[in-house]
Amino acid sequence: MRLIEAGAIKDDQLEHAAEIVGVYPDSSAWRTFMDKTLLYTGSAAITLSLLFFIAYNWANFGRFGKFALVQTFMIAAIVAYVKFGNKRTHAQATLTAAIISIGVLLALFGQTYQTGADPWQLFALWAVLMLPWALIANSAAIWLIWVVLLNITFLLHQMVFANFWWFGSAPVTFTIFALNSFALIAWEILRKRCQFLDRDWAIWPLAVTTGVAITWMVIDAALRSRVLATPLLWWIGWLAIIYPYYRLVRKDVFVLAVGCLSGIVGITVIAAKGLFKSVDDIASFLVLTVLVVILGSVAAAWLRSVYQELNSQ
Amino acid sequence: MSSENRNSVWSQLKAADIVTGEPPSAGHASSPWFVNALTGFCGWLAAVFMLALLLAVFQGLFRQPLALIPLGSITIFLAFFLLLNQNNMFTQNLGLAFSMAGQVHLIFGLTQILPEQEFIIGITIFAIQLLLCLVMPSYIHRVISMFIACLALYFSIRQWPVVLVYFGLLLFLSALVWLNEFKLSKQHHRIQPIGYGLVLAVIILTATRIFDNNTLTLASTTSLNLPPLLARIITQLAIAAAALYVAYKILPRCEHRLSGRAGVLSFTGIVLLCALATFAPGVAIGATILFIGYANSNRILMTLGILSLIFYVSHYYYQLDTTLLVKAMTMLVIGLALLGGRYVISVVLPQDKRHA
Repeated sequence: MRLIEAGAIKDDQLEHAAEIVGVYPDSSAWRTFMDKTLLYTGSAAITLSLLFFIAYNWANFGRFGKFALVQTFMIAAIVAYVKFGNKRTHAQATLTAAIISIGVLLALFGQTYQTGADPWQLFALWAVLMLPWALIANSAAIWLIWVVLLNITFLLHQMVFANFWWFGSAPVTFTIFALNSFALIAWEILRKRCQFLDRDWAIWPLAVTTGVAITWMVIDAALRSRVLATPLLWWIGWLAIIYPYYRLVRKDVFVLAVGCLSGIVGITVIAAKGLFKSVDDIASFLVLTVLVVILGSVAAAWLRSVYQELNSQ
Repeated sequence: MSSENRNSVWSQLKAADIVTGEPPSAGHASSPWFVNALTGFCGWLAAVFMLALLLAVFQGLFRQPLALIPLGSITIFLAFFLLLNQNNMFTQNLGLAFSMAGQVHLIFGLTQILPEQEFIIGITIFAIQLLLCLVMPSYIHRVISMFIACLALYFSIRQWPVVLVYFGLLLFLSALVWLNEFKLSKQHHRIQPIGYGLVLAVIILTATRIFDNNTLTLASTTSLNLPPLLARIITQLAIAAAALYVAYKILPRCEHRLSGRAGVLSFTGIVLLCALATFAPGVAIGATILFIGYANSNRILMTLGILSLIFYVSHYYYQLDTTLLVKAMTMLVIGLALLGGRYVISVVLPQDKRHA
């Protein structure tokens, strides 16, 4: 891109240049891409068809038939995993299908025997039962699915016991923040030892979730006139860890940008709360406009300089 | 890109006689997408406060459309000059805030003096946004303007039969822009944001449409008297046409003849997938965006394609117009077709005979 912007390549040579440097994938790369895409999407579609079928709860298809169907699918997925274990793409696709089928089997069990269990118990059990497979899978994507299941478990648990919906309750938000922070820290420690966990794309959803949760705690406390000190301390602590770690140790500009955005939103909300209490509306809006522009400019300029520094290394 | 990679790319290009001499200095790196998103968000937030400020200072201004239009125009004009300084993040943020606040003034003023017709209001906003997309010297501004232009045009035609092919048209325009991205280097700074604006619009509008099932029904019953099934088929045909265009552009890049085995397989696969996904709105769109992204090694587009696919398939579960049994059968047929397609490719196009 920089060569294009610098005008180093003539217009009529650009497409040829894109082919040479591999921007345009060649026939072989397309073949591999199609192979993986068709395998993943095909196996996902068949697994989803099983989920949809069980959810339909077809009366003409007896209990035995349904259990046999799900369990046969699960066994077939595991057999395929064992058979194709040496091919990474095949192994991941079949194991993911097997992991999803655990959830389908648990849902079918609840549907058939009307156990009276809450939905959070299903997800908790699902997370526990998939754990051994996650341990053998050596896949960042499967571990991310495990973290997602834990998040759903805690959210559903709080829906039952804390009578809340989504981020309306501080304890729930804190639970999500704590859970994902723990996952983020664990991931950062383990990625040095386990090569398959060394994926930035897997870290980013965890960083975003922790950032959203802690920022929401600050906004919630400020807007609802709750005690601001506790969420503020957690927020400052989170920022104080995020910035030095992802600037000096890991050097990840995306996570730094998440921190900057959280900082801008948090400071603006706290400033707005203070301003509207002490000065008139016109002065408040003027100060807030200038504040957001300055904070946004400083953050973007800093992030750009860090990005440029990393690119020039 | 690290300096090592940069030098390697330069050497490859030099060996092919595409460039000569020494590589240009690293200079200013263009911002990554998330920094652009942060700047866009701050510009929007500042614009909200600026609007509130103007409302508080000039109370009653929003009841005077003839004052709003020149005020909005002047504010956008000021924004243009602020955005000219592309290396100063302060003026970039301030320029975005000025422009967004100015646009609200201008559009609000215009809606008050224009007749109360959705079409005229929508077309006016579309024209303004298209002009701003071409003129404003800011990458983020262009993405936002193109996105709003597509939304405005949809708003103006949403009760007309032409809306049935609108999603296919947006997808085709996205493909047209992205698959010709490298043809005009001097316009590259305009082409890329236009492409992102188009892709975001088609994803968001498709998501909105599947939540608002009345839109298609409205168009089919009031204007054309078409049954919903036929309306869906027309929509899907337009999407399939866009997907076929993608294959038509990509195949020659891989030195495949359109009438060769790879060409026939690709075209048949696209038609089959689009036919099977007729009742799962968005699936063909998400898949096409994924392929456009891969064709240009653009990870942002690929991620958008994958995320939209996940969203559309998840929504398919909750769609109420068919039973879960029908959905289960549809997904099973799609899954078997995809795995079957993979098998056919491995047989018809083995690695060593792929240049058929």
